[in-house]
Amino acid sequence: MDLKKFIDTPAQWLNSSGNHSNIVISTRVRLARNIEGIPFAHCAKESDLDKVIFQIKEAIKNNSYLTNVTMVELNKVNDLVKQLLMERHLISRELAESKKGVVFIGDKEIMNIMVNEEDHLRIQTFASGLDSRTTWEMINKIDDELSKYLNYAYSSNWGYLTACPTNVGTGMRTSVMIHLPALNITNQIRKILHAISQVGLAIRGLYGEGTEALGNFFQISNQVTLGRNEQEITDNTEKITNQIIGHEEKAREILMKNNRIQLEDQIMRAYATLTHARVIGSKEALELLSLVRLGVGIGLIKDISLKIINELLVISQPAHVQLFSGEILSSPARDVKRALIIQKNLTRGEERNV
Amino acid sequence: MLCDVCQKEEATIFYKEMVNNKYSEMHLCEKCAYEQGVKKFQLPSAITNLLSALTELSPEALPRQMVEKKCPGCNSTYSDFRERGKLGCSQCYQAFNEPLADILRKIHGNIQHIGKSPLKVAVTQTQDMTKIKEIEALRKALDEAVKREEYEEAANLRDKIRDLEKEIKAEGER
Repeated sequence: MDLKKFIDTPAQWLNSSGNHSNIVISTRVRLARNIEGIPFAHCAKESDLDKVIFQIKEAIKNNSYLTNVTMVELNKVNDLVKQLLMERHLISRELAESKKGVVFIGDKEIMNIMVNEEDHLRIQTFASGLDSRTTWEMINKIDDELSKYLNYAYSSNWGYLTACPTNVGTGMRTSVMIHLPALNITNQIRKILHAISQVGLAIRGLYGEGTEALGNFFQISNQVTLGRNEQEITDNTEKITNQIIGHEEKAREILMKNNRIQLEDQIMRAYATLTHARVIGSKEALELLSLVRLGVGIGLIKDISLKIINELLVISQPAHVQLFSGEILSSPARDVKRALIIQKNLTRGEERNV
Repeated sequence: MLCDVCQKEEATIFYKEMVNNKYSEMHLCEKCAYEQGVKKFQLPSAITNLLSALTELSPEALPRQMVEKKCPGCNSTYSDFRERGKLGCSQCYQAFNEPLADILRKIHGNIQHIGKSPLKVAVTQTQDMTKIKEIEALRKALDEAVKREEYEEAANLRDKIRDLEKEIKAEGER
């Protein structure tokens, strides 16, 4: 893997070109699939897992949608690279720890396939903004094509069979990465989160299950995978997300009407810190970037694009900061380098320079 | 109704507790409820649903032969599944069919898949690709026929595709 080229080209789904990009960062769909006749990954012998990798490699060769994928074997890269891939949402912690974990990464990171995670295959597609249609159509084609060459574990009653019964059926999870700062400032976030959980959706932090919602970035995703078809699942997630977007927009309007100066003050202070501070921790960076992102969204900050901020959310993470420097850094040294990266990106507009 | 504790936020959690045979009822906002340790209302997730489904189906509730039953595919037992929350292989679904149906109903509210199926659902061990290739060619021809507005031909092609798909499915179920 050409690491340099890879980290210099941010994922396409961060480019804020999609619908509702001021609130929604991205939409992701994943399908869980297993190969019939081979035990699920946690139960399989290493030789079985090698078989899985071999079969998937062959299937990808024959897949016209996957002509330009990069294969990364996780037991052949160091911890820093694993962390980098996690920060880019290309692998999960579980895959990083798998004995025979492999990830196939598509051009511009619009798709990837994790191999030997909880399931033999975890296929994912990504799109900017709220766009469950593009992500679904893309993943559906990839999956159909793969299913011609792989013998998927499937039952006509229970659909695609997965290691955990929570994924059985469609094996599908649609996740929307959403930024809800105004709902938090106006103290409505708990109510909204509670309501979401009542309609069969789950809400998590930025990096999935068990992670904090730093900077008011959340992931909303469907829970039910059996007894609804893929269209219903994506439609439902999109419908609920649209309602949440409506609430966030309203909260932003109310803030602008009733507390404009205080809001602008907070945002501009965050902006000032990001552009002038010499030392910034990763948690602080996310929180300040969240405020500046709100500032761009409401039109207060005009000379920065949402794209730059979305990218900074990723490249200000610890592994990115270290790989940009080309060396392993202690935490305090990272915080200095991070401040520099953020400053350069925020003051040079569209041009990327790190 | 305002929260009984902070008297500021709207109460959205109604919490009943029985202590010494006496009911006490509290109306709490989410923040206070959380601080009071009312953990029960924490966001339900698939995982917690799964866990509760698993604990409800305690070993006593299941016939002994089911608890000890082994999956012929991977030799996992039903208690292995209860411990790990994961099945060992696709054949486990068949081996533990009955308790799993209950668990799936608890998690998903449903036990019949209605989504897509793999194109090759059928051609299991044989790796026979001929029919699938044939269907692909027919689909292309169908698209073209529709473009040319030759609907009679399109209908014929469509029927041919359906027949082939049926054959494939029948083979798969055998």
